Order: sequence, then structure tokens, then C-alpha cells
Amino acid sequence: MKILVVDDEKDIQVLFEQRFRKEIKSGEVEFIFSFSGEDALIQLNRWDHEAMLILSDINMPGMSGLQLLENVKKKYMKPPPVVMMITAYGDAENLRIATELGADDFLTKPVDFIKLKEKLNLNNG
Amino acid sequence: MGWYYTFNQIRLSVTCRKIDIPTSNLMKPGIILIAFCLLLLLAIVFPAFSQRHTFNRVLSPYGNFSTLVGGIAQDKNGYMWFASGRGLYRYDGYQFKMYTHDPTDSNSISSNRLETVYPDSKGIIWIAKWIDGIDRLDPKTGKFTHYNHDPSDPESLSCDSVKSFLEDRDGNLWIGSNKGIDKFDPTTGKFKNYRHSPNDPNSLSCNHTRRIYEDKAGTIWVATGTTWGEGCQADEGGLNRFDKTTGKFIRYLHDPKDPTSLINNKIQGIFEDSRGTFWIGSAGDGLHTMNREKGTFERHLYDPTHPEKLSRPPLKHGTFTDYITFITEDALGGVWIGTLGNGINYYDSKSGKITHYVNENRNDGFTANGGWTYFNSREGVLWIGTFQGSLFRMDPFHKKIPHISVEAPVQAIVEDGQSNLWIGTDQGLIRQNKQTGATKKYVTEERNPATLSNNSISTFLHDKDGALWIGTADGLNRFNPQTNTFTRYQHKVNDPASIMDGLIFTLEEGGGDSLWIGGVNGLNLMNKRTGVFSPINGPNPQPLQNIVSLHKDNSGTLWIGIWNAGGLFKYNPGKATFTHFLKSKYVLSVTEDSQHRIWAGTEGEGVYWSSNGGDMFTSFTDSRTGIESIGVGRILEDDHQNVWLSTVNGIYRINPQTKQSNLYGIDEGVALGSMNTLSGYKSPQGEIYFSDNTGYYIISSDQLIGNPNPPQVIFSDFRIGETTILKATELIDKKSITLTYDQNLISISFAGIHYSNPNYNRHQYMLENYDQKWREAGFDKTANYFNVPPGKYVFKVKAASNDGVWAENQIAITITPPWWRSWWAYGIYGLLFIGGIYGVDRFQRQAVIRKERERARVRELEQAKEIEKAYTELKATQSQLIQSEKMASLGELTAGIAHEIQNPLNFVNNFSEVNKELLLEMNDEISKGNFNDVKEIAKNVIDNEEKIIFHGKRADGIVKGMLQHSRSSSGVKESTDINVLADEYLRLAYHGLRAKDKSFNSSMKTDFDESIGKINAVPQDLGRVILNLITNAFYAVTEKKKQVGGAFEPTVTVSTKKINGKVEIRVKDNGNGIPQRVIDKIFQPFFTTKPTGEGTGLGLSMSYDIITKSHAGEIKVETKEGEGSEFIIILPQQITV
Repeated sequence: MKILVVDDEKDIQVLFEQRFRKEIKSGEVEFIFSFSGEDALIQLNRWDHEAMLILSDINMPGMSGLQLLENVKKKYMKPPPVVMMITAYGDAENLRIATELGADDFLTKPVDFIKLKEKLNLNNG
Repeated sequence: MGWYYTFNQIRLSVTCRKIDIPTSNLMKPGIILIAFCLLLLLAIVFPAFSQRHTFNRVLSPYGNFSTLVGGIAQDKNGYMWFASGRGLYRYDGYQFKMYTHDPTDSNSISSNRLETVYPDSKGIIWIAKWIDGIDRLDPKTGKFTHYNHDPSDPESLSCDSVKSFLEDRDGNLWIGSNKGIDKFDPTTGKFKNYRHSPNDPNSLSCNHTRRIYEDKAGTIWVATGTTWGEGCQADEGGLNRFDKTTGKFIRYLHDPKDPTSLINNKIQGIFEDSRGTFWIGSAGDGLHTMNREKGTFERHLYDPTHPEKLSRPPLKHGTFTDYITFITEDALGGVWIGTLGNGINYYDSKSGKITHYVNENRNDGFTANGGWTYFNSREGVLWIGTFQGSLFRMDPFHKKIPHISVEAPVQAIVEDGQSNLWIGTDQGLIRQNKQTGATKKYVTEERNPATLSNNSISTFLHDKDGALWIGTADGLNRFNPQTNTFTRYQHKVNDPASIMDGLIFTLEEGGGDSLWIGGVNGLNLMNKRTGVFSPINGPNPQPLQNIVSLHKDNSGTLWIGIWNAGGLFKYNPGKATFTHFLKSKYVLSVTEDSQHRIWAGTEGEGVYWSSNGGDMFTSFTDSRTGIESIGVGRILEDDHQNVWLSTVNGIYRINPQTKQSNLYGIDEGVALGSMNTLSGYKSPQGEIYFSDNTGYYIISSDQLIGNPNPPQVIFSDFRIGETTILKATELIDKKSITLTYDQNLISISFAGIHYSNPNYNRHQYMLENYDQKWREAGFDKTANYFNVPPGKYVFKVKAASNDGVWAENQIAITITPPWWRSWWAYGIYGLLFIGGIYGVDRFQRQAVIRKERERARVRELEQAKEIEKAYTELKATQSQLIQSEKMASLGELTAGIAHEIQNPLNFVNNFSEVNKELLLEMNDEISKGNFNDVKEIAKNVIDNEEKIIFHGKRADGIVKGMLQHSRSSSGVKESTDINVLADEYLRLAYHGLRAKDKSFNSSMKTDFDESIGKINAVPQDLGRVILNLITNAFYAVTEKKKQVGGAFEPTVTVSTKKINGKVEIRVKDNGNGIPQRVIDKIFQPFFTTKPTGEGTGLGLSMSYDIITKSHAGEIKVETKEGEGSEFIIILPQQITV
């Protein structure tokens, strides 16, 4: 499974690589990282023949996670990939907008990786 | 970390149990019994000093290179090109650019299954495809032109399965395919074919070509034959010598009756090395050297009983994938022989020995079954591409430092002049014969006084009389070679002539029959003849303590290095005088080099040096390696006047001439964090020994020269605004560029091309006549200049390789003045001046009228007094309102802070949990004994801890920032980092607004001048001003976005700059700007353009007061209606008001 992680915090890459090191080693998941919404779109373009899950932060400078979501779900690809939004607020407003835009699932910060692995069906090891 | 290490070592050694033996026994050699000694053969792996190479896997951001890295090449700009089964890649050491087939674009590459890539001397990139002919890429246009076989055109490409290219010395391009070779005529675009003809013995021996090669004499050789089927018969193939003037070939084929013929006809490797040896590699046991005059071959067969002898890697019989793929030579003259199925061989022509690299459990980094293709890039890095899609780079100048494993931590090491290496561990002493490898172990035995006094060996001295002295955690020992026994010297409570108590750190020659001993409890001078010890007091006069290092310099002065904040003493034994240096530093070592410079290593503060035994010590600094802030232990000078340091970060080498330092770390085989930094030894042969917790390192300095080749400095992109006007291929020959005055938004990207370890390359740039000094380049390696005034400039870039070798490149930039500053414009100004004189005359007349007006003003002043009274009242109200403005802005911030704090918390929580998992894993690995894994995990844990600390501090900073903002100002000026302050408030303002208004969005840009340093300011107040300006800027861009929508990209830029001792902070937006009619009012209290209820109208007036009154600065605004505003704060560096 390929997962595109979008967050403006660069350390998120090390974190994911460590928390998923077993899964990465075994080849269950492969991560690609983008540090902005704009770059995420470029990455998606580059990989456009591959099924991919997107995990995106909402609050980012420039293109926000919500704009990225809108792009992916409405304009961008067919069939649109699964998008999971991460937000620091977890508030009703963002949730509502993201749901309207077609987000498939939500996570709140700080990210609970056990939960995330459950959601990705990776908690078997 | 270093501090803990030293501390642990002292504690560990001191707590060793003491054994009391009557001193009288020690004085009588006759009583000494035969020492208990253990012959431990193979306790140590016998040193094999060959240095292995380190391979680094190169990964592309697009994942694996897929099925094949078929071709590797470098163009004029230094860019590397990789042809893979997934497309074409370009790489500069930092970034990849990928070219893939786009079915909608006929100018894109025509297929992604590539065979090889070849840049020619004109800058054209040629690409061979598996079954789709060839493509020609012109980097200037980025367009691919396609050439394919056309059955109806005999002058088209003769076959679409192309394997190789060669541009010969006459400039002809040759193409090797499955139908012989073609010569390409670039003017007509036509191909001339040469192929096998059954009836012509002068034709090519086989049509399946593999490689076309031109030797140094200009002869062209064609390798043919394939084991891959493809219609090629089992015995078909052969080597061909081609005469391009006659078009005739001479064939060299396998002949079963002739042992000087080729062993096999399937040829892929052809190479002439720098010594003129001509190598041919074939299938089977097929390493040959060829005598080109006689046409004979010498076969170098694999001998299983002598795998070190010259041959290809061991044969895997019966597999069609096991044949020689390439033969090449690295920049140091080593020959590399690649096979597809069984690794690669390195042949050292000097030692005549072979080293085999293959995917196995070694730390060389070569994790592949074999190599398919190779390339030597300009700085000397050897690249190897594999059939499975891996790519490796290897710098032959960076070999691993050999590490010899010992069963226990090695705390001291010495040679005895009889070819024996003595290794002191914390569990006894090991003697190892350097020639035979035989080892003997000596340990203490409680009832036997002729054994060592203690098993924890801390230091050695092989003295000028040939005696070997051994310092331990308890007592001094002298080795008696005839009897294999030891004489002990230990502390006796009632004997003032006995040695001091406790751990001995260091031994040094004294004058005559004497010996200096430094230890935990001070300094002793021993008379070797009588065995009497005298304590030497310090200057106080109290015993010195924790003497970890002693050095007697060429003038007889004794240098005493003291741990535990004791510094360094210079002791004159004749006059008994002390001079104190490096006071309060933890000195770990002191030594003298051949130039009589004194070097002192310290705990956590790097190394200090003093020229000519002198009295001024300076810190040796090198920001590239960070040497100035690490723990430096033993210091040794090699025979080439390089200084080597054992440190907590690995081994450093300093070149005192160039003042550069190099770190030898993981890539060079030095494990992190395990060095025993106090130990080290230089042998009479010039080898440097350092040790760690698992053994010792041997450094032959002439083998660790580093890569001497400088980087190639290129300009990769030249932009005006957002538009590229020149690309790398156009910039390579460009010496100067002329721009007009309105083209002064310049961005220049550049790169230092050096592939040894590109992550450690360094870049600096400056625009001469504009910049005062070199600027450190950021991650994007781009220089941006705005509003450069007309003039002549030179843009310079310098780059350093990971070995600190610098190179420079430059391009002249001329910006021409606008018409109103050209010569003819000045003529017009002259005319205007004459007109001006006329104007002055008129002005005089009007002065009379002005006087009348003056009178009216006096009347007005009277009214003003009344107004002033009202103003005082107003002022009281205002101070209340200022407080409410503060609270209002705090409200805006709260939500921003919530978001900001979640991010660091996310990392703190998660990295802590990861560390817990890692430590559990580490426990498992420890019990399994996988210490390599343990070290790897420990490194991860340390890295994660650093992240936890960083993000913890970050959260702390955010909370403090919030508290500071809400607190009423103390009014006290502190040293304040403007850049940090501005950055913090920019983020807070952004997230605050974002929390309030979901639709809000804007780009934030910062351009901070790092040279500002700190200024004296009230941080809460200044923060408020910056926050206010940024919030206004965001408001302005949001308003414009609402009006314009669509293409408008809201941008707020915060920049700082140091100008003539003043600090300038600029907050710029691209909003609607401030209308000219209100510009004078914006700093007045209660003036606001926001709708009623949205602003207090006090923000800017408060800012004005803070800047001008309490900080003696200026605040001004530059604005253009419809284009945006820029607020400029100018503060003096030192505020005295």
C-alpha cells in the first residue's frame, strides 16, 4: 500500500518512518512525503497510475489540506483516492467542511498511531 | 556525552578491587614466580589490514529505478544521467529530474524501457531503448527526437534494439545494436551499417554487439555475443578490431586448441587501464589481458585455493547470468571487474590482491548480486548500476578505516619494538605478535605478585630503555620479558616512598632514570633505578588531581592536562614553576606536534592549539565538522603533519596548514559513540592506533587522503521574476549577462557538483559590488536579489566538497540604467535647472503673501491651547483602551497557539513512544548479542531524543510567547533576537486568523538576515508591534482576495536586514494598499478602515509610540494603491533612550 503523507512539519517524515519501520521493512506500506498541498498534487500527478491513500494535515501555509482534498476529490482523479484528514482542532467546523468535500476519515493531532494502524489494517503484527 | 564517558571510565576503573601485596616482595625479583599467562590463540581476529570500500546506495524520490539501471553517464554540466527500465533520470547530487514517455506529447521520450544513455561532446544526450530505437535529447529545448528502423530505408537505423554508443575521437557517433554497428551522420540524419556477412572474413564476427570501445591509440573494438538467447547461437560472438577507414574487422575468437585465445566468445567487458593493460571480460572464467600487437590473450583463471589472486569473482556454474559485465579502473588506479551474477571484484595492482564485494552480511553497503554498468564521474566517484535497478556510488578516496575486534573494551595500546602489539583492556592485557598473529593474555592472579596488579589497564609507556610500563586502575607494573612476569608498584599507606593511590591515567618519560606518573590522585616522579616515588605538588601548593595527560615537550617542560575543570599546566621541573592555561576547562589530552605546537583536547569544547610552544591557546574551529564543540581525547600527529583526534563523534583529521578538519564516521567504518577517547598510539612505522569498546582502529594516513578533487560549480537556472531566461546548458559558456533596470528581480540557482557525499557539500555566494560578504546558501541553493540598482556586478559562487575542497565560478551581471538616468536625460535636467531659476524668482514674490498667513496662524494657536486640555483627558482614556487592544489581539492569538502547540506535542508524544519501542527492541538485541543492531537502535534513540528536546523547547517557547504577550510590559529592555520574535508572531498571527476564519489563506514568506544578532529591546512591546503589522497585512490581503478572487495570490512577507548599524524589519503585503488620502492618519489613535466593531483603531498608534518613544526608532510606510503596503521599522542596534 502506498501512502502519501502531507504535512508542513518536516519531522513528520522521520516520525512515520520510525512508527511504521516494521511495516516499511516488510513492504506492507510505502510512504511518500509532501510538505505542502501544492507538492502533494505534483506527487499525485507523478504517481497517477498507482492506487494511493492520502493522509493530510489541514493547517498548512499555501494550499490548505481542505483545498487539497477538494482538488483531489472534485477535479483531480478518477477514481479519487482515499483521503484521511489530520487536524489539530478536531472541531466541528473543519470536520463538516472536510466531510462535505468528501474526506473518507479523520485523525486528530497528536496522532494516535495504534488507531491509525487499525484504520489501515496494519495492527496484526 | 563525552563527559559521561570519561566519568564512567574513572568510576569503573577505580572501583576495581585492590590486592594488597607486601612491597618488599616486589623489590626482590628472585621471589617473583612465573607469571600466570594464558595462551589464547585466535582470541583476536588476526589483523587483515586491507581497507574496504564503502558503497552508498543512491535512491531516487521516485522509488526504485525499477528493473535495470542500464546506463550511467555525466554531461558537461556535471549532471549525472541514468537510463533505467522506468525512464530517464537526471541528478545533480541533490535532486532528480525524471523524463518519462507522455503519449500526448510527441516531443517526449518515446519509451520508458531504456538500455543506455550517452551525452556527446556537443551537449546532446543520446538514449538507447530496449526495442524502440534511439532518442536524441536537446537539453536546450527539452525535446526528444526519435530515430527508428525503417525497413524501406537502408540508411535508417539498422535495428531498434540498441545496446551502446561511442563518440570516437574524430567526432563520429557509433551505435551498437543487434544488427552490427551503425555510423551516424548528424548533418544528413543517415546511418551507415557494418554487419556480419557469412562469406566475408573481414566482416564483424557476430551481429549481437555489446560494447563499442575506443582505446588510447584510437583503435575501435567491438564486443559481441550474448548469453541471453535473442537468436544468438551458443558459440557466436567474439572480439573485433575495427578499421574505420577500410571498414574491415579483424576477429578474435575462442579456439579450443589455443590457450592464448579467448576462453569464451560472449564478450561484454573491454577496458584499457592507465598502465596500458588491455582487459577483456567474457562469459565463463573469462578475465583476460590482451597483447594487442600479437593478438594473444592471457587468461586469469579463478583459483579456489587462492581467492586473493587476480581473477573474476568466483564462478557460479551453469547460470547464464554469471559473466563479466564490465571492467574499469577507479581514480586511484584500482581495477574493478563486474559480473552479473556473483558480485564485483576489486584488484589492487600494487598489492596484486583481489577483494570481493557481493551482497552478504558486511557493512560495505554493496547490497547487490552483481553490477551491470559503471561510470567514473569527474571527481573520481565510481558509479555502479545493477540489473535489479539499484544504483551505488563509491568514492575510492574514502576507504574504511580497518577495525580489529578484541573481546573486551580496549583502553590502551602500544608496541614494544619486538613486533608485539600490547592491548590493554578492562579485563586484562593481550600481547599480539604483528607478524604471526599469535596472542597471549595476561591477567592478575590474587596470590601471585608476579602478575599484573590490576586487570583494568589504563595506559602504557614503552620507554627509551626498552622497558614496558603498564598503568592500571590500581598500581604501576613493569613487564619482564625474559620471565614473562610483572613487577608491581602499588600504594602502601605507611610508605611515603610508594606510588600514590588510585587509577593511573598517564605515563611520560622523565629526565635520566625518571618516569612521570599522572593519575586520579596527582603527579608522581619515579626513580626507575631505586623504585622511589616522589609526589609533586601543584602551584597552590596542593596535590593536583585527575591528571589525565602528560607531555614532555622538546624544551623539557612538562605539560599537565587536568580533567574536572582543572585546565592545563605548564610545569618547569627545574624551577618548580607552574603556568596555568585553559582554566576551568576539562582537559583530556595534551601533546606537541613536529612544528612544536601544543595541542590540548577538551571535554565538549573541542581542541585548542598554540603555536611554537607559545602561551596563547586558540580554539580550532571548522563549522563544517563542528569540531569546536565536541569532546576531544587523544591527539596524534602522523608522518604527513596531519593531526588525528579520537573524539566522541568518531575520528577527526586536522590539516594545520589549511586549517580544515575531516570527520571519519560511519561511512569510514568508525562506530559512533563507542570511542575510548583517552587511548591512542602512533607506531614507529607511522600507523595511528585508536581504540573503542569493541577493539581498535589502524590508520595508515597515506591511505586516508580524502578526495582531493574540487567540485564543479555550475549555474543551473537564471530567472527574472518567475521566468527562467537561461538554463544550465546555456549558462555553462556564459561569462556575462546584461539586464535592464526593470529586470532587477533576479533569482540564480547554482550547484556544486561533487558526488562523494553531496549532503555534505557546502555553498556560498555573493553579488560583488552589492553584498558585503559571502552568504551561506540555503537548501534551495538559490540567490534572490530584489531592486538591485543599475551597475556592474559579479555574481560569485563557491562550493566545497565533503572533504572541504573549494571551487569557484562567477558570472558578470550588468544592469543598465533607465532612460531618465542615461546621458541624454542628464542634458534635459540641465535645461530644467535653468527653468528652476525662473521659478525661484516667482517664489520670492509669493513670500510676501505668506507673511500675511502667518498672522492668522497665531490666532489659531490660542485655540490650540484649549484643545490641548481636552487632549490630556483623552490620553487617560486612551491608556485604558490600549489595554483593551492588547486583550483583543490576545483573543485572536489563542486559537493559533492551540494549533501551534499541538504540532510539537504530536512529536513529543510519538517520538517518546517510538523510543520506548526501540529500547524494548534493543533489550532483545542485547540478549541476542547483535551489537551492530544495538548501536543502530541506540543512534535512532539519540536522534529521537534530540527531536523530543527540540519540540519540547518549541512548545515551551510558544507558551512563553503567549504569556509574554498577555503580561503587561515590564518596560525592561533585554537582548532580543528579532528574527525569532518575528517568526514566532508571524506563525501565531497566521494560525490565529486561520482559526477564526476557515476561508482565510495566504502565503507567508520570510527573509531573515542572520547576521543581525541580538538587539536591545522590550520583547513584549516589540512583539506587539510586529503582531499588529502582520495582522493588518493579512487583513489587507484577505480583503483584496475577496474583491479580486481567482488568480490573486495573497502574500505576506516579513524580512529583516542590518543596514549601517541599524536593524530594519519590513512587513509587506500585496493587498490593496493604503489610499493616499488616509496615509497621514494611519498612525493616529482610533483611526481604522475596518468596519465598525472589527478594530479598535489603536494598533498602529500604539505601535508608533512603542517604536518611536521607547525604542528610539522609526516606523514608516511605503504603499501603492492597488499593489500593497510595506511597513518599515528601523531600530538602532543599541537603544540608549
